[in-house]
Parts: sequence; structure tokens; C-alpha cells
Amino acid sequence: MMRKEKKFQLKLPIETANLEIVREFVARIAQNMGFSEENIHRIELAVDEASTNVIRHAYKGAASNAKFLTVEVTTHADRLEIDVIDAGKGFDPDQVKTPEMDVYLKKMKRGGLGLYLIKTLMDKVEYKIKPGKKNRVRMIKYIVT
Amino acid sequence: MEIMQTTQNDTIILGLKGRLDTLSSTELEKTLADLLAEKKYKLVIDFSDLDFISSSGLRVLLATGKQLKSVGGKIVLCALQNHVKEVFDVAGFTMLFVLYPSRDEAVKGIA
Repeated sequence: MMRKEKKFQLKLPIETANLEIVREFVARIAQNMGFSEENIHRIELAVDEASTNVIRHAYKGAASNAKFLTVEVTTHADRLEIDVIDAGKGFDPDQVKTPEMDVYLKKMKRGGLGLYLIKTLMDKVEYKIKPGKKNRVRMIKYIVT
Repeated sequence: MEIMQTTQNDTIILGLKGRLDTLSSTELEKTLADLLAEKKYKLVIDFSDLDFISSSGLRVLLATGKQLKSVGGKIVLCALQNHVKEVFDVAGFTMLFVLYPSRDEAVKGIA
């Protein structure tokens, strides 16, 4: 029988100290769904990277109020969907370059590595960018049984 | 995250315990910067009790490795748990660092 989809939501001020809360929130849900430990580690890292990007970049130059990070998790019978949402300036995912390691080593460019890890560790990544309104990175991991 | 520092001859060993994320990587960054300022140029980082690393942690290691290279120093890593090693593999960092299975081998290797 198909499990009914369930939604969970967490809204937090953008502080690096809150990354642990985000990771534990998502890890616990993944654990309850029966994901392997290996995949729970991957999911935790992906959600950490997406949240770190929001904390570091999304609200740069914005006024101090209303700087939040929202994590919405939807569990389906076959997959886990994690949305990391902000209302910041947004970004163009196509412009975020995958780092080339030798260039990376020379220049120590900041961006790119987090998104690259997300794309590699999750099964699917989707972006919906509405600058100043709602920017969403959706990360999907399938349960393999 | 906890950082436990020990010295063996002219090598500094940092044992990391817990989670190396965006928050704790600033702490590691400071510890490493202090060591470099004291001209400690031979570093072993013991990962046996480290459960998590994100790109912030990788960047700190990379920056330190780069600085050490420019002064003829060395940084090696040891005892990575499988899921932490996977992050190094995926990011291409396995090629940038010398990894040893144990602390003893790392200390011997860097000498």
C-alpha cells in the first residue's frame, strides 16, 4: 500500500549555528523512512550545503530583518524531497560553475563546490528562483529497496 | 567540534572530534593559522573521530595545504571514516592530499 505523503517544515534565522538543527531535522526524517546510513550522510551533507549557501549568499546586502531559511521536507513512498527556501536575491544555477580542481586549488574560488556536492550526492536537484520572493532548491533522494 | 592537539617531535597532530561544518571550520581555520604563524609546518590531521565534513571544512584544509606548500611544509590526513572519505573522493580532494589509514602511519609518513 502507498504511504501517504507527509510534510515537515522548519523555519530558522540564518545563522551558521543553526546548521546542526537543519541536519538533524532532515536526518531524523530520512532515518524514519528507512534510508541507509550511507544515504543519510549524503542527505545531511546536501542539506547543509544548500543551507550554507543561503546563510552565506542569499541575503548579502539585504536589510537586517526577515532573513530566514525554510526547510520543507516531503516524504513520499519512494523518495524524500527536501526544499531549501529563502527570500533573498536568488541566483542563476547555470552560472554557478562546477569547480575544476586544479583551477580551484590555484584561485580558491568560493562558490560552486557546495552545489557540486549536492548534485553528486542527491538523485535530482531542481531550482525555482524568484529573487526577493521565493528561491527554492529542491533535492530529491529515492529509497532503493 | 573538538580539536585535540599533540606534538610528536616536530610534527603537530590535530585530532578532530565531531562535525566539521561552516560553524566549526572557522575554529579549525584559526587553530591552523596560529600553527602556521608559529612556523609549525608539519601537520597531521586525525579524522578518526570526525563524523561530518562539508565544503567549508574542505576549503580550510585546502587553503592550509596551499600555504604550507609555499613554505615547504606538509599536511597529511589520516583515519578517515568511509562516508567522510566519500566527500573527499567526490570533491576530488583525494588527489590533493596524502591520506594514511592510521595516525602512526601518518606520523611516520610525514617525518
